[in-house]
Amino acid sequence: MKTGLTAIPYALRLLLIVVLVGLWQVFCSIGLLGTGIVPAPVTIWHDMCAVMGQSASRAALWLSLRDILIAALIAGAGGIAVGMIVHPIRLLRAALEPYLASYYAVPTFIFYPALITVTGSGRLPIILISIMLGIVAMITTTLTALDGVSRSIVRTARVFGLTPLQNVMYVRIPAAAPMLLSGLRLCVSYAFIGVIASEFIMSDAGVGYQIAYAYDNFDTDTMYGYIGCVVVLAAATTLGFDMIAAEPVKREGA
Amino acid sequence: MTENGQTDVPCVELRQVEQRFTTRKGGNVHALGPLDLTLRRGEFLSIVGPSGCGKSTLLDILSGLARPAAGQALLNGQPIRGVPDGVGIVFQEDASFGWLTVENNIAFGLKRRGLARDDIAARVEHALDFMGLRRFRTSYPSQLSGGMRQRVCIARTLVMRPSLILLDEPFGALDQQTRLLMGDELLRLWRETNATILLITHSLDEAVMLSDRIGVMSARPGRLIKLVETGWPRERDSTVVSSPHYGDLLSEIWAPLRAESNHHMAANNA
Ligand SMILES: Nc1ncnc2c1ncn2[C@@H]1O[C@H](COP(=O)(O)OP(=O)(O)OP(=O)(O)O)[C@@H](O)[C@H]1O
Ligand SMILES: [Mg+2]
Repeated sequence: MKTGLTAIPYALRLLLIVVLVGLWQVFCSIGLLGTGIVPAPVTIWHDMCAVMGQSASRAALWLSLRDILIAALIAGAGGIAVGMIVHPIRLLRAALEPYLASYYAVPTFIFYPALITVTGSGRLPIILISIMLGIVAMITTTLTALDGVSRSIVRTARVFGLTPLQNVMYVRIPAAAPMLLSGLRLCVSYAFIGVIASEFIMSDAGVGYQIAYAYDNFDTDTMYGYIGCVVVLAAATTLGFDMIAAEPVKREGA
Repeated sequence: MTENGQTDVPCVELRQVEQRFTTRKGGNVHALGPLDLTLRRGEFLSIVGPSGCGKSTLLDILSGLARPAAGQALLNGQPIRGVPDGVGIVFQEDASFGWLTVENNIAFGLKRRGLARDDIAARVEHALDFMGLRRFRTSYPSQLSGGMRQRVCIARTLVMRPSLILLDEPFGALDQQTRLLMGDELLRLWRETNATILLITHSLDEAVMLSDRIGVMSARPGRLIKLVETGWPRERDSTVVSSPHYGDLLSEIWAPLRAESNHHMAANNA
């Protein structure tokens, strides 16, 4: 049966994690891994439960997650919009291309302190730096995705006399959807890094800040609790994306 | 109107039309013409010609997707600028929308035009029937064979009821039997809608069987070297293949085409 077969990779993936975490637990229990180096999974689980049990910690996690989603959405939507506008204008694209290609050579993070001096501290510079991290990846992905839309499909849209907006909504975006989704996924990953690392460096709230605070106070239990929560959140978000992305891929027959 | 349903009113007029392309290396390709051709309103005209002679280029000009480098292209007496209303085209390559089901592919243009739902549904049903796609209505193009995908594209164009239908090798991916049946369907549709059809085909049989007139093109840059009138009645179908006249027509278009194809092969080998 088809559904049974497609479920096998998922089961294997889950099994892999269970085995690895199991081994880790065993090594800790028999003293092969000193708990001074790394706590056992069960311990981290307890730490995570302790963290989630406090409303202040939940608020910190929620704050970070909210800003991650805001930054990812703005970077994604903005990147798609810029890509859509730039793509048909060949000269503009040719002019921009080298900048887009070398953008990630500059560690965007160095602008974070500069941003704070402009906007003041708070959530705004954190969201802005996270958008800056992701948006160029989204622009590049959009350009590549649009290049991949076949000539005959583009021409069909023209023959049907679509308005530019209809063309984007009904042809370009759906035709490019599988790649656009992977671009969005990149934006989410960049936003995770951007938000949590900024909180780490300079801020007074959010899960990154809480991790740094616990670390500074030698409170490793809390630190590991937060780290565990972030890992689970990031994994869950990526998984959610993959499930959405699987739909058009199925249709493409890939 | 003459007895076979054509009129002498020109639908499309091409005057000394030429097309050139600049290649990526900066070279110049003379792809088409100079070419003169008049399509009478309501006629079924096929074009045959060696590969690369500019047939698809010609359709691009007629559909307003490309402007000729020289000469004039008129539709109903007006110069063609942009894609004119009432022109439907089926491209040589697969242009089905991979993200839509067969029925939504077919309904695509109708929805964009804002037709009433009932009207759309009725036209889609009819198209599914005559294209033999009913069983696949909820399938996605990736689940269909190349020939069936092409049928989806044909249906998507025909449901718009264009008055000028441009077909670029539409049955290329179909097997011979289906080709014949599709040809019959196309003839029926042509009679019902009084559309003007320009069909590009590699199949001489198809050209002879379906057309009022057949244009033979030279190797690149394609010019019209022969125009043959078949004289078939408007009420015709694939059974004309058994008419004695059929063989005569076939040899009449094959002779110039053979010379051109030889020429073309020789040029490519030089
Ligand atoms: N955009 C383009 N740039 C450069 N050359 C082109 C372009 N489009 C077509 N050509 C060239 O023009 C010539 C005619 O092409 P066209 O596609 O019209 O031929 P065709 O008759 O449709 O061929 P086929 O029977 O193989 O479909 C070819 O030599 C082709 O390489
Ligand atoms: Mg062609």
